[in-house]
Amino acid sequence: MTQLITLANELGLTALAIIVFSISLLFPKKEDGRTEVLVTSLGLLALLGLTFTSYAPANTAFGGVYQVSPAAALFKQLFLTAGLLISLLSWPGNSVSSILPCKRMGEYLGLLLLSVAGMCFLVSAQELTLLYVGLELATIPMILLVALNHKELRSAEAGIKYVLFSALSSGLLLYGLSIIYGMTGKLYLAEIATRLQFSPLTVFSLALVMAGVGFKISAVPFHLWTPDTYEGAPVTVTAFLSVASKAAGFVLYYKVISVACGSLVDYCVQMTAILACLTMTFGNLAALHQTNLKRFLAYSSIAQAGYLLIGLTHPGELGMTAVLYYLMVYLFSNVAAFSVVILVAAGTGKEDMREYLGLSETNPKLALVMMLAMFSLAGIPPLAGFLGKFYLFAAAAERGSYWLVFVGAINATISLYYYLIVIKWMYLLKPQEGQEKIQAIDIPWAGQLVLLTTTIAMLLIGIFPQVIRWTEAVAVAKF
Amino acid sequence: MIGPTLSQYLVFSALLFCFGLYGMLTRRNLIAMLMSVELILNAAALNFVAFHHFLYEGDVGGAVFPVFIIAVAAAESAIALAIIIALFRHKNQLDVQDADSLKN
Repeated sequence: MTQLITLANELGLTALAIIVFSISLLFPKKEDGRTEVLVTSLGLLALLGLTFTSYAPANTAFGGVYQVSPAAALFKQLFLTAGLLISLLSWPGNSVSSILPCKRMGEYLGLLLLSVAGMCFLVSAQELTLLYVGLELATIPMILLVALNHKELRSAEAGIKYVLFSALSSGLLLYGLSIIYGMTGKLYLAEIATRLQFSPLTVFSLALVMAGVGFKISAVPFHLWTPDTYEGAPVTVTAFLSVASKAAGFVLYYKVISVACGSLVDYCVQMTAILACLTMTFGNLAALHQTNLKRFLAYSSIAQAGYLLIGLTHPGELGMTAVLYYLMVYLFSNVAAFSVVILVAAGTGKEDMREYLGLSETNPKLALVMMLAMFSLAGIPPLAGFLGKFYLFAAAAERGSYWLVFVGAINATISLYYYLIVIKWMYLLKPQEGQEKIQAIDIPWAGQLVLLTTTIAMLLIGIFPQVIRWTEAVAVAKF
Repeated sequence: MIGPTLSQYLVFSALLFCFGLYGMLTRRNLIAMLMSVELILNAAALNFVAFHHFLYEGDVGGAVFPVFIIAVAAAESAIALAIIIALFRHKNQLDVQDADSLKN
């Protein structure tokens, strides 16, 4: 019984998913999807509140397979927040009805909840079996969500690309893990870490594992699925994929690295540093000439994954703090950017940044939120993104990898250029002959709530130092 | 009774892995690509079972893991086939080279 109470968060998510699935089956006549969104949002809010209380008698369950450390709890709060914001954004009227049909809202939200449950299991897993099952529980509903709108060619194509790449990445990951099991005979992460010795075979298996994880966080050269999947998926799903799914990938990466800590730490750090460089540089260069905002944000999220990898080159507490803090910042900034894209697409059907002409005059609120989000992603001082990048670079500098800091700084400058282009279309350019301003958009309450929450979070996280103290305290405990 | 040894199993699973990876990179038919991925997953499962049987018989983990791998692989291929059918309805063929409506 105590074990079940320890698992309350995940069990609650699964129960909520079943309830949401059955609402649309029980009341087939009401097909507007509002009930489902309300139930999901309130349920997620309740679970989020539950994570802040210490309800559980123990923080481990099932013989140490499952463990809730402070860092794991923080990650769960991130996932639940992401789920909450995305479910609010799915409120009918916030998103285009042809992309997200109201009568399928039940299955859409249920799958979203199952995916969040998988991520929560992944964070708490201390053993390879649970780690793998949690990962797949997070991924498989995401595949279905990407292909949700299968009557449309783009969505089906995005789905097939995602499913093939994620199956391949699981295959590589598993083959690497099976070799590690062969060398150590253990499945618990902590036990593997003490037994793993240096040998060419270990390096090979770790490379396989890292390749598998690299697909999940879309690190270059394993990023090929990302832009296509992000563009083809329903836009709310893209937002969730770019935030929660990526954060889960980083959890996995951190757990893999912590296994290798000890005899292999130098190899891991070098591989991570190279991945970070490639990912940042490629993501930024490819984002430069994008005009479709979904695709633009896809490449920008690849670049952001590169910055986060810088933090992982520091295996100690500072690296963990930096990554946690940046993930928090990235979550709110990216959801803010995506919510503007979603609301504009719902109101006008426009997804291209060249069509955002005059947004600052017709929809000053949306333009302001978009500007803040772009500045935060680029790392302009008063906003949260600046401190986040600063800590990531500080973590790399503390280990003496100044070249990595240099590459990161150059990349931050490149990224500022293309984030400013979006602002240029919204604020500076005047409509020429034959061009029209974008029309004013009516935003429902749920959309306004998301815009308000993300804006406040972006500003407050950057200003109040308490937040970084909090992440520091959490990072000491690790997973 | 003399059965195959551990190294024979490992060589076999390494071959399966290589065939799977090769198929994934060279085949252009979606179903063939899916089969290649299944080969990779089965190679990993075979590794676990072989290590469990020859080296770590006391540890149940190695015997349980493949069961999960098989279950998850079945779920994954069911989804992949469903999406392939959806794609086939649009295109009437299964060549990945043709799945290129999402570009830049």
